[in-house]
Amino acid sequence: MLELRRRGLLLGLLLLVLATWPRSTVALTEKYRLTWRDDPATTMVVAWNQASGADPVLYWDTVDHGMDWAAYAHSTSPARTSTAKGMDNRFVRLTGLAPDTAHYFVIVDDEGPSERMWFKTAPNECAEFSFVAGGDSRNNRGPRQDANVLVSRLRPLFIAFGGDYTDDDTDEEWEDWLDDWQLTRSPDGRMYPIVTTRGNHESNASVTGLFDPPSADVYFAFSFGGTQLRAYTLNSQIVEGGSQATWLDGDLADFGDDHVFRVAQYHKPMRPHTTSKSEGTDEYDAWAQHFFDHRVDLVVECDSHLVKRTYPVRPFTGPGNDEGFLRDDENGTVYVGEGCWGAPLRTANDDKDWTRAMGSFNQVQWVHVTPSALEVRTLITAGSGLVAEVDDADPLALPSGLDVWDPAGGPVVTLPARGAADEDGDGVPDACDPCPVDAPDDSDGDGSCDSDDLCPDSDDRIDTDGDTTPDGCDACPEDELDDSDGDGACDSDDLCPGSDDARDRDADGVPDDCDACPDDATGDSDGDGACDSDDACPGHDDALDVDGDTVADGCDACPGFPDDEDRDGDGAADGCDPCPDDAPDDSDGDGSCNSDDTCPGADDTLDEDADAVPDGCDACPGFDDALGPPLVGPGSSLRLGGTTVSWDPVALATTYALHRGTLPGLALGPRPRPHDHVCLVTSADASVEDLELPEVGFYYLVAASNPCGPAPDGLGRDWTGLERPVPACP
Amino acid sequence: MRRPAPEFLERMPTERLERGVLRLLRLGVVAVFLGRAWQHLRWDAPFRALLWNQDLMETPVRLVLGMSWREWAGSLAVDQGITLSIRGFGVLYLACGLLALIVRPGWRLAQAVLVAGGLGLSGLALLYWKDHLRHGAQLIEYSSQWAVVFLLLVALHHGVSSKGFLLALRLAIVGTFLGHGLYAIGWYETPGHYVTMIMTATGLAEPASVGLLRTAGVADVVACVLLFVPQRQLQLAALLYCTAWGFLTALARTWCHFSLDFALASLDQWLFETVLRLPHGLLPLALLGILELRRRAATTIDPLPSSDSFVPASPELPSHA
Repeated sequence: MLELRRRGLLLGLLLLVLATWPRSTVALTEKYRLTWRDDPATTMVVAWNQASGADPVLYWDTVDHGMDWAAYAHSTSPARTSTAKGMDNRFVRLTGLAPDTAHYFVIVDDEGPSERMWFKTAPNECAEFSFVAGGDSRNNRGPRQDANVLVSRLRPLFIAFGGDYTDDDTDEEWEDWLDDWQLTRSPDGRMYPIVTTRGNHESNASVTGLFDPPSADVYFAFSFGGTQLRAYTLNSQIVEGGSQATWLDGDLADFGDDHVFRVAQYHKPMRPHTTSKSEGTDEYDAWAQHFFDHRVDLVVECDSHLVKRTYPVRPFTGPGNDEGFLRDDENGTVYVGEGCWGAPLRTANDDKDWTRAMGSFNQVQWVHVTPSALEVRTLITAGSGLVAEVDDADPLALPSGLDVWDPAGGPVVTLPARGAADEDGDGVPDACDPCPVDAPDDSDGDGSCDSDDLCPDSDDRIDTDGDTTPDGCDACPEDELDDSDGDGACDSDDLCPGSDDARDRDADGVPDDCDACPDDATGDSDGDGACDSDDACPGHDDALDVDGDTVADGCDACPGFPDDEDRDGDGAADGCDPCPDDAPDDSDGDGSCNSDDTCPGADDTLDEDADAVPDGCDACPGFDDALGPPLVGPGSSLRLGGTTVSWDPVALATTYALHRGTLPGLALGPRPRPHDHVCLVTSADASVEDLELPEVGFYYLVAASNPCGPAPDGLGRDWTGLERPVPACP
Repeated sequence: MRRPAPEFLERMPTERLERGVLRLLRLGVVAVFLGRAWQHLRWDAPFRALLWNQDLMETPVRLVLGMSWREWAGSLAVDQGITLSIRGFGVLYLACGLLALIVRPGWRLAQAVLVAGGLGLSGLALLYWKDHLRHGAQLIEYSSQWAVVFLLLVALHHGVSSKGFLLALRLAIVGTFLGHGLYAIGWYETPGHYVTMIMTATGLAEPASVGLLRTAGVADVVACVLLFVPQRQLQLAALLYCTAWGFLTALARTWCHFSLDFALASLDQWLFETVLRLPHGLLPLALLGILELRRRAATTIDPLPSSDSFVPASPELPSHA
């Protein structure tokens, strides 16, 4: 009883956990794969297993909306379902896609959306891209996963898979295989279309039921890059000759021959490189000659679980052949293989005369496609986890960590384009040559063929002024009309649009027609609108004439007054003439017009004695002229007292000159009598010491004076009125 | 008036006919062993269908050899060992082929070797079945090739007259032709090389060749049914068809793939395919002989020792008398 309760409790807990367990928000769509049924540039088949859920719809767009599926511009429902290999396979066939473009998609059913994934359509014109080729992924799952991871790192345009996916073609094995295939998806969600081949370990029904190829017989061809590459998938498990060979020959003639490169893949090799494998007689008989006749460049074979690459060979049964092939480096086909995408290894022990190299390891072939060549590398898939991702912008760059097989002869097999028309002989076939008549094509790298290059050695795409003449060859790169007036100067640099810049009479750098003052080098230097040569008032605005006297203010000798009024005729208008009646105005520069000059020739303002008589005209400097000289001299007040000679002061006298003469000298005789008096001293005082009295009779004469002159009765005349000498005083 | 048997059988003396039946069986055994010996010594055999099967062998390889599957599948030594084992079976089959030429009822060791060879062929049929997507038709198609060994041994010891022998012989023939027929009519996907051989042999285009193959497939199935219809003429007609078609399809391997340009190489690759398929014609022919012997016994010996056996006249054959 207790045990029953315990079990019941456990059951209850289990149910509770299941009921509350968060439901996944991602629908159970799984085992996604991409294939093509039609033009790889504009179509894609998206296939998956609908493990649960219903009504799936694929939402897609060229814009990545992430998981916001409602934002995707397009939606498409599956066009086909298949129960192949016990799965509910759904196939959405997308058409009308943009070439060479990323397309993002989410699958949504009634349980929710899938992860967001994306793919890239093939280019529809010549380009650089790569594809991975290989096959035989049965019975060694680890290496198979290695190879799948390597694909996710190489980011090729597509995968050419050569068959033998699983061992027994069972449901379980296919489920595992498709689960492993998810490893080919890159971390950013990019998926890569698989071009499927049928091997001997699966049926046509398996391939068609899982991959929706364009042909129920699993042989078909796709073109890539327009006419760059025609890729054939053949079926070595059905009749190789007959209808298939007829189709192959016809397609090669109708389409393949027009392509630059032709490649083919199928499962069973014509000449296995292991002794235990029988020769592919039927494949050889049915296809080898067609390959040679139509210059198929590269053939990828599988089945043997080893590695081989051959020299170019052609079918030949004459002397020198080895197993029906003869090396022909010029016209032959290179065969590579032989399938080891995660398969047990066989010993490579059956080399031929035309074998370039062979080995035994798990590998895929990485084929680079350029307009001028195919490059084939054999990649060792072990350790693929260490390989870096290829950059989509540079799809042919070898990522770090890549292990490239490097046998004798080198790691790369290069297959140049051959046979295709190459008019310019530059090695790039016309079909892929952007410049089929130019060698080199575009030497200046501007995207224009040399023969069409508007401007050699310059970038035609740069046309700043949009006049269709590239800047490099445009005399006026910034002028749509260049030099519209034809004067040799670009419009944007034209000093005088519409006129000849070279005409510049005044050589002032401004063409005449645009020169306001074509004859003035300085133009209108005062900016008054009047050329300098015509400028009434250089340096000033001629228009400014406040006094209206027609003389610009800047040059108006007397602003505010008529310039023509000049009474004194000195050239200075009366209004501005300080001395309108004097010419000259103030010749002594003392600030007094001449006519008002108190003392012409002297500075009226200098009047040291402040007697109102300017110094220059002051008769009595330092003395008031109005007083005049002393009226009288000392007369007879002269007296000697010892050595002191004194006299009575005389009014107005400021200076006395004492003379002394001797009596002997005062000769008798007619007058004027001689005198010998000399001036002893001048003195402002009325007494003087005379310490050198002569021994003889002597006399004194005193003359009084002031700055206005001597007293009228001075020494110059004696009492009779006669003149007598007045010696100068010391 | 219808003939009771083909004219060449009617004219053949009974004793010679008896010896002939046994020689047909012996020739069949020799052919299948020598053919397989050539295959195993020179070419390949589907041993890898088993030894490279990751689902089946990964655990045994790890437990017995201590090797990871990656090591096992990536080892050229393993590959060469498998090839060596194939060669070993080639030696066995070569020995069996030679012994089958001379084996007598009392040669127990030789018979033991032949039994081993026969078991090898049976296992080979299983491997082919495994290697051909487990198509039942593939499994039964080889019934004539491995059954003929045991039929010979039984015939050596017990004669060819027993119901069990006849039933086994019929089943072996039916297995082969039903297997052919199911492929030919498209019950299983028709192998391309079937059509290719008809195109090469007849010069017909593919559609016509497919039509012919479909017809032959129907004939194969009808013949298989007729072998069990208790109407002698129908059985004879079926056996004549099987004999002719058995030889033709065997010969087609060489005929259609022979090339003067690669004479030796094509014989190297395809002659053994013809040789090992000779029992496809020999067994119906042997059954024709046995049926003729039974008819003679029924008309000249009255009563027969038993209703389902006759007294062998050949000294090679054990007497039930």
